[in-house]
Amino acid sequence: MQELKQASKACDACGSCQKGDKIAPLRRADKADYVIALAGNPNTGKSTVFNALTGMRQHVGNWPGKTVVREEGAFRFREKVFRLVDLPGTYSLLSNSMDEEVARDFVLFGRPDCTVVVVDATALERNLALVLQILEITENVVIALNLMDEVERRGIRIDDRALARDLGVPVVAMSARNKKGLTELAATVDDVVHGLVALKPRRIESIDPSIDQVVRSLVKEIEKEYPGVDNARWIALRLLEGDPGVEAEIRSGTLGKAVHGGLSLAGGQ
Amino acid sequence: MSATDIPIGETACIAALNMEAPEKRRLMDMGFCPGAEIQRVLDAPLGGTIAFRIRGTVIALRDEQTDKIEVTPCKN
Amino acid sequence: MAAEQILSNAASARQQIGGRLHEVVAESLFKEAERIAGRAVIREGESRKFAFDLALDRVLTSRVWGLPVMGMMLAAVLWITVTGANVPSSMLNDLLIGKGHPWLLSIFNSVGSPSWLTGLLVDGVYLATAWVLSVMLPPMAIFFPLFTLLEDYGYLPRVSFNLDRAFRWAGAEGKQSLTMMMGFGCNAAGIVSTRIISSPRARLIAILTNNFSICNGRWPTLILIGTIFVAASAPPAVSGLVAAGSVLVIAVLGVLMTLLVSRVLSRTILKGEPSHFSLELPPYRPPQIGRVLVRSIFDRTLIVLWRALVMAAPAGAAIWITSNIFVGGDSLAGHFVGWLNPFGMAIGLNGVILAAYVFAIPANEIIIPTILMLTLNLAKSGLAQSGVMIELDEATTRDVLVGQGGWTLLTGVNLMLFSLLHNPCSTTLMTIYKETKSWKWTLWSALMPIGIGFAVCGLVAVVWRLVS
Repeated sequence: MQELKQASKACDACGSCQKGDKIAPLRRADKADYVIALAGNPNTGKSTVFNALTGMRQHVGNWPGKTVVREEGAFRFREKVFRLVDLPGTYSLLSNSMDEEVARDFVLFGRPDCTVVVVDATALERNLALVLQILEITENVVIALNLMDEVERRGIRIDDRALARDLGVPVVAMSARNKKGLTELAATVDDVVHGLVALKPRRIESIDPSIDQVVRSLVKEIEKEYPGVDNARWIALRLLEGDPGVEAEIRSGTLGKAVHGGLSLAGGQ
Repeated sequence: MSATDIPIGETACIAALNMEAPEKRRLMDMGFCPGAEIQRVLDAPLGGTIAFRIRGTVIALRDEQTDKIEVTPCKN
Repeated sequence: MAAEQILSNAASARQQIGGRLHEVVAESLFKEAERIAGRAVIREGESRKFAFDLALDRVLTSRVWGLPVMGMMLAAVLWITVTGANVPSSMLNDLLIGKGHPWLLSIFNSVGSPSWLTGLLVDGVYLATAWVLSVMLPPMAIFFPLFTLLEDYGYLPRVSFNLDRAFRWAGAEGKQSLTMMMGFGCNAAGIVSTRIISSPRARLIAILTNNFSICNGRWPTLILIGTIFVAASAPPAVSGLVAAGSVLVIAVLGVLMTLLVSRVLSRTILKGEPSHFSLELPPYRPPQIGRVLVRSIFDRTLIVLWRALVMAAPAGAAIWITSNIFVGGDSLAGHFVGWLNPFGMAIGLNGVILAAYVFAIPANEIIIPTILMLTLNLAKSGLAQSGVMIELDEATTRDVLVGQGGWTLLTGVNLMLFSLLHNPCSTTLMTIYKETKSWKWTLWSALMPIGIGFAVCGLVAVVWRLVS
């Protein structure tokens, strides 16, 4: 548990967690102050994190793909109500199977105030592919580096600070099933929704030069049409792949509206 | 050589995916990209299904898919 | 319009790039991921954990041991359930039916309750719920935690891996084996889980065949009938094994039916090629025993039990009422059962069982209590052969069924088969409608298993009667 101890020490030091911070699961939340999406690869303990935060008892099993629908729960933290939306576990947001679409559409069009990506720390490399895709879409991201107890047992060490630096978003080392790191996660999410954390999401640069040119000119057009859009590059890439969902958004103009803050599922703001 | 021909326990690197777009996408989304290192770790008891270790996880594929994954020895 | 302009520019650029984009993006994503992970992960020598997982997987999926270990594991779970449930079951039976029922009767009589009210509440509602409790609670409280342990440890994906060749033979997608295993908990949950199957054709096959996975509601029925009928004819020393074995045979038969029906469907009305398969075999995780216990009791045992009680009470009342309204010399239930009886007998069951399956459409859980209620109530009204009302405090399930209902070993065996091969419960049917949005497929998924059930039971009955 070395990492976890470090994490909680860091928490004491930086003052991110105040004394008396407690996560209070809520039975119902008609009005939420913030909407938080919970994304991640299958089998990373996403449902365990969800249950631990919301006090719900969604079935958890050790096999991939058991969450196929969006589950919702809520919790109260620092006097604010957070609605938590558990998305289906996916390896990627690029394909078009039903579960991936549910996840992608919510992160993109649901405009959550923060997206928590639950990551299996024992298979970091593979999990990061999804993290990088989400970072292309939105910058309000917190990485929940889960299963740190398992990492320990395997004799691996993970430098979560280097990871946070590389990704440009906060990383919280945790072990949801041992109820470790949850308060820290909630505190970090709270900081992110209040704009207290500097976010510089890592965006992918290395790409084939001939394609890069095409992408760039399309990005320019999008930025001209929708000033202030923060994921123009991602939208350009989706359009180049012919993603019908994103095309429809462009056509209907919801994309523009969302950019100007019109579309939000959070009722309280 | 295709991924089906990797001896059990051995490692090889993906050279190309010779298949149609949707199937190719699925595989790439799980990390089966050209250049990736794969190790054949398990064969199903009834045959025809092979599990590979790739990027720290174990993923099983049917041999009709692995036939179409071209591999070469890894350059290390 | 600028938006249309962007779209058409994108479309022409797409033509120019061709199909390479996804490949290029995925490749750069993984390269980046590799770089970042490489900086963040410090390996202090690979531990023994992966080696241990691999060694375990080599056994659990081995050519020689993979399948036998799978069967033995399920058999062991069933055997522990059967033998472990014996004592608490008879204790509960003793308490609730042996002592509780006469006690309630005397209370009702002492306050001068009219006989119809006493009958409705005590013989109807109370007895039905008491039976559900004593018959179902102990096996569930043992079976579900054991099954949950296997699930939590990560064994289910290995079963999928082991069986994939068979599912390929059946023309099914690889993930169907996972949805089939979800069905072993609850068919409605299994149906919802078919959303992980991307091809609509393959998904429909998975939905139509999910009913062949024995669900929470049916395990206790099978375990009970296996124990009191099939195992009763075996020597006491091995009766537990025989009971577990008989349930195992039915479960395996369910898997075979899934494969066979999938194959027939994929070659006839749902023609198509099996699509790709990819399945992650997650690392084994030592389950947290305490949490497994708590969760399987709250999420499974109590939910099933509650559903059974909620359904059993009104069903008990309905049975009591229909057995006590007389039209033309026999009760309504008597007429119904009598009308079903010739057909029931022909396929090695009887009218009571078929009537019980009608009463139990809302929940499979209440089959056994319903059968008992009907048998006892009809014995009163004179339809059962013996016609003698036995004292209730001596009434064990087997005595009632053999003595009052005229059951034989064939009835027991065929009930087990019919329990596998009949229509899904109403919750499952509603889920099927919600997922398919089609009355046609909902009706199919109800009638197909019943048809198969009638055919199989009939065949067994014919052969049985020829041989014996």
